[in-house]
Amino acid sequence: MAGKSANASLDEERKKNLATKSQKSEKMTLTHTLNVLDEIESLVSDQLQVVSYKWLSRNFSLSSNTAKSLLKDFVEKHGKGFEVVYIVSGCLKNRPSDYSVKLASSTQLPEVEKEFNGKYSVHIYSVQASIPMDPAAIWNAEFVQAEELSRQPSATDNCLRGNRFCGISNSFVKRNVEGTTGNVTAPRIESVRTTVQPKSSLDFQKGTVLSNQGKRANVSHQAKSETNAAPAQNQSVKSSSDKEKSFHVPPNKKNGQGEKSVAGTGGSLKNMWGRVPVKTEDESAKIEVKNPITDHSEDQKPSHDADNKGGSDDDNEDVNFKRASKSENRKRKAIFDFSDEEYEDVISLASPSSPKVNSRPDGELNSEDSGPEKPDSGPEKTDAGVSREVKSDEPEVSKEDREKTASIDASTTLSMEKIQTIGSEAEVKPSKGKITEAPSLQKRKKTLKTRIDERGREVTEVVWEETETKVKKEDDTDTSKKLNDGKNANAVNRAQKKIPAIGNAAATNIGGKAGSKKGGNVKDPKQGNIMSFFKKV
Amino acid sequence: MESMEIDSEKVHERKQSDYNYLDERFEIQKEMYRGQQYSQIYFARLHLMRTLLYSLAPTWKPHLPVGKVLGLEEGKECIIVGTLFKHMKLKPCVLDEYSKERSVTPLVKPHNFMHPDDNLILEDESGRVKLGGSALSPAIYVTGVVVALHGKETCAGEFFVEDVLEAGLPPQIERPIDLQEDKYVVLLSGLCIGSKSANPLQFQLLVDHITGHLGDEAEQGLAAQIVHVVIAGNSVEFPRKLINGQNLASKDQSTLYEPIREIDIMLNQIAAGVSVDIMPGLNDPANFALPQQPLNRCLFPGSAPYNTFRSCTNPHSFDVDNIRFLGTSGQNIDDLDKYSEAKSKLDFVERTLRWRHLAPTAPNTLGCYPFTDRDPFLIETCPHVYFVGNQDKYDNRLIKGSEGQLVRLICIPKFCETGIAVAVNLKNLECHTLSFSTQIS
Repeated sequence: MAGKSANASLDEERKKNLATKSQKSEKMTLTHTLNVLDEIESLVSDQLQVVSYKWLSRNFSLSSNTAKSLLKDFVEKHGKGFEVVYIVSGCLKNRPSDYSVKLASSTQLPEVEKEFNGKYSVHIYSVQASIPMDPAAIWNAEFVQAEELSRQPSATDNCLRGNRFCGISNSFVKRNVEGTTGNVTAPRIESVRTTVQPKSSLDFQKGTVLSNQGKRANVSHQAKSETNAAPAQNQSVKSSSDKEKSFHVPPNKKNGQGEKSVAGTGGSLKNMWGRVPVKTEDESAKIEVKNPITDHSEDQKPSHDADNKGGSDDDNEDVNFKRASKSENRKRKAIFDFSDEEYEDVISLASPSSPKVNSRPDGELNSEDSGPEKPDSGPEKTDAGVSREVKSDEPEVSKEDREKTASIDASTTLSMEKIQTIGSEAEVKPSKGKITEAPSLQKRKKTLKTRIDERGREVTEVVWEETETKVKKEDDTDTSKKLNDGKNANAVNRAQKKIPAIGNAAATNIGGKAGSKKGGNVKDPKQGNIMSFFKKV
Repeated sequence: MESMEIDSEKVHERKQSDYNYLDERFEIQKEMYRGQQYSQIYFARLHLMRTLLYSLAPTWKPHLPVGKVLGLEEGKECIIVGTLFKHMKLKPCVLDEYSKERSVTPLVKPHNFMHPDDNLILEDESGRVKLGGSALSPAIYVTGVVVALHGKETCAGEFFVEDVLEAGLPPQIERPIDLQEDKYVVLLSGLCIGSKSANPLQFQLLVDHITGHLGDEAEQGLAAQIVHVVIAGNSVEFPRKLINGQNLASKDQSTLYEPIREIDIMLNQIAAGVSVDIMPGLNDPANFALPQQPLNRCLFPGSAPYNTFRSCTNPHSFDVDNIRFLGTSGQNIDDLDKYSEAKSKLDFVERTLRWRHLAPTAPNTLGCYPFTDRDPFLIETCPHVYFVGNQDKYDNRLIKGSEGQLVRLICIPKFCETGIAVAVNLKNLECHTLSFSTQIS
């Protein structure tokens, strides 16, 4: 009982507070009540909007009950020209135990009121220029308002979320704004995303390599879509790609597979190129996602990637995909999986500019990635471009990939699709092994690095430039050896990647260009790029 | 608690209740599908129910021996316990779709598959036996019910049934008798947002009433007595033409998403003021087989952050102030309606309670998960309120059990068609309707 009285006194106080508040608000509204009434009038007559009491209360931050009395005043003042909808609530005469609520127009009101017995309440529901045929139209304006309120960022407390204008308060309701709602801005992505942990859709926190790759895959797709995505900002690309990631992941995976298959089944191509990269699968899994997205930013990205490779994911994407970046030892396969090959990475291979990029196979997966986006940017691709492209392709992936590639890679896992993008870069010709200059175009660029792995295959990796430097050296040495075979290998590798357009020509080109990637691949965009792709950094 | 009216605004405090979530048995996260068949769930059901019936048999007919089907001897009276199987002539068989030529338009399916020639068979692990006699009406029973039968084997090899023992109402926890104040739980179902027949204004009026916007202060005081809201299935309805296996264009995607968005905004308004549970139904974006798993919280970005919002399974079981509620979105009763008959839907509801099984036709004709070691639909504790959603009209009944159990059975009508929601008073288990009409003409 003591408790009760304590509660009671609290209630009293609370009520008093409320009362005073309402008093104050009343006084305040008196002054601008007229303004509000005028506004209502203009809304109803000029804009033909339905003004319901809830809409009014949310719009002018009044309690519902105040809004109701305001509408009442309005109708008393201006009521003649407008239609009013009343709401009658209470118990019906013939069903005294059941609660009933009915809407009624002003003409219906007397009859409807007769149906109710005892204590019932009537107040104005809405005011409008004319009563619509479909009662639901009365609800529209209010719903649009509610939609806008719901679209505000989740952390904002507004009158929709705070339940503040009603007649019942409930202090036990708590709303968690940390992101439980998950800002799912891009619904489609979330699900597919492989191992993306963070809730926030856009932030791909460092995923695992795999996830990165998955992401990259998405990214690649996105890259396509977003070709303009912040170039070097893999991050941005990534984010966008992230969204699409989920979307793309599967394709990427496919790509990885595709690579394999390309490698395995592209008999003619293989023969042509002389090599069947076996590891693509693994690699693809890892790298795959060379994010076409990265491609978009390829131009910028490559350097970006290169820098990133440095392991400091500083470039953009670090945040999102920690693509294995930094882990130099990761095998990086430039897997340019353009998920669904819809993208036909036409670009990449072709980019004449990529030659230089190609020279840096390591990091420059960009070329691959950027395929879709960058096909046009071919010229840029040259070395730098290639590397960039490569990077861009997998903005996200690349980061990690880069690192990986630096470390390992035997892979020609670069997906063929990527190759396309890379194509342009390919010109860079990783096969050269000399990966020369290209990669370092930007501080951290993805460059393609080609080397011969233990099985005698030429492996082109996308590595970040920074890391590349070291890697490159090794690669260089390796590649030099490999170059000779490398060319073929590269060709093969590239072929694996799905170079639809390139075909034999590419192979030949690649071979030829292996060395000349940097400079000269421009002539034959597609092919040139491939070389650059395989070029070792 | 009413505030004294010092000035015009009176804000009521919503009443509070204790809530317990009891859906763990319906969740299937821990289950692993290893390719098992449905026999295991039937076995679990028979095993548990038989133990129960064996314990009841001595009090029912103490002088009779209890045996297995295989142990039947001609002419000897005994009690056998097993699962009923109803052989139905008209029951659709999936093989029919492949056996004959398929016409382009599906044949009109009869709503009810009963036929005068239907017969019942009792089955246990040892064997099955055809049932005869008039004590057991095939019109009432369905496949999957476990009963004890008293009778004897005839020379024709049939088992002539003289009497039937059902499991009866399960034991019930005592209802707290000291609830002084009126507290209401609002049940609604069949919002069908997104369908042509749904009237969003009607639902908005309901939301406004529950949250305390509607009406004058006295009415708002009544609304403040609502402590919980349950939405029992079929909250959205997606345009079927879009779901045809093709990829959706982006504008179609947003059309598809609209109903969910709308329900989320409405739930947001409700959750901001009162505790709300949402259950999946037949048309909702949840899995098909019972027990349906909770709707994903990502579908409700606006409502999920609230601690008052809960996404629940179908069937759903919970406690409010120690009053036990159990309910489904209607699939179990609708399926009974197809394979048996009764004067009113409440008869089906009562039967499931007396058979102690929420959905006896699962997995025979009702989609169900192949549980291996348990049957989650067995009703172990008698609820105080047992509701079924998405019915054609509102109905309710109070039934009494043999041990003093008292259960309120409620059929919740489809809100999109009737504009009626049901409010149950926790103090005395009485219920009344809340109806909303938007006819302005």
